[in-house]
Amino acid sequence: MIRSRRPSSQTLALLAALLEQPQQWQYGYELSKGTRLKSGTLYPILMRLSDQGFLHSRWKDSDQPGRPPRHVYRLSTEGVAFARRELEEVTASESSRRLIKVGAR
Amino acid sequence: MTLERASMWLTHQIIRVATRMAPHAREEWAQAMTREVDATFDPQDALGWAFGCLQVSCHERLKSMRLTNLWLVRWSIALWLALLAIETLGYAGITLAYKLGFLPVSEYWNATRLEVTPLWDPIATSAIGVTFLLAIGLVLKRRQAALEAIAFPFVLMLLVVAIRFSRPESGDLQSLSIAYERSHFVLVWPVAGVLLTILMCWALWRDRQPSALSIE
Repeated sequence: MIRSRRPSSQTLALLAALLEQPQQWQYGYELSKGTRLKSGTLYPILMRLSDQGFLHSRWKDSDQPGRPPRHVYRLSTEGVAFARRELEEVTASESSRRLIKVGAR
Repeated sequence: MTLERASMWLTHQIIRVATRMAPHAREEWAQAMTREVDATFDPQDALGWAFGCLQVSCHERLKSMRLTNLWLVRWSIALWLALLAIETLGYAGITLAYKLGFLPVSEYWNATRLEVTPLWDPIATSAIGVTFLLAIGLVLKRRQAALEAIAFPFVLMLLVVAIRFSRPESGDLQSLSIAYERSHFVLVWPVAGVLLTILMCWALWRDRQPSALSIE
């Protein structure tokens, strides 16, 4: 049986950022700024998501002339479904936790 | 050289190392993350980004490595196994020789202890020692069965030692308590030995895992 692990808060932040515009290709640096994840955290997550088939990546020519092409990323169809599911679960568990806290008071 | 230029120079040196450090399977990713430095306008930000790239490359390189491909790791495991084999075979040899009457009664041997030791103990211990010797060959030849050849006799050895300590007539527990009263650090070496063997088993187990990456 494959053990399913809950994504970390950093992975969830990245999934949320990618899910904001699922059709649009995004640069790694933009994602880093948007999620406040440093490169040492961001890239292992991107690699893992790509290995799992949740992320598409490709080279895109730079807008500035003379600059080398850069990698861009967007969620795959499976990735979009995965991100929605995980983020919904987190939202649901957070609201139930909030309800329990309110009930305890 | 201004501080800004020095920072940019350092950033590019780190980026160069990070690109070289990444394993073959992650080359494209290494290029992807290092090229983002060009999009970073703040030199300090770029330096931080470069350090992150280096961290990722080192981590990926370590992940892709088979530890037992390093001769130092293989020979360290073999040396440790040789020590375990000498210890177990030495104990089994002396005990068996005494039990079979080949060893004369001498003040060098703890005859009382040898008397109360059951015959199965040195037989099991010699089997453990022989398996450790076999494991040395398997480790040096990078065979997958090396893990079993270390783990099974090691668990059996721990079991035999536990049985020895559980028998009051062996006197092992009393000897240990006396030694422990003299110095609390007496347990450091056996615990370190157990941890070291577990670490070696982990390294062998890790090398057997099918990895997405391979530098071979």
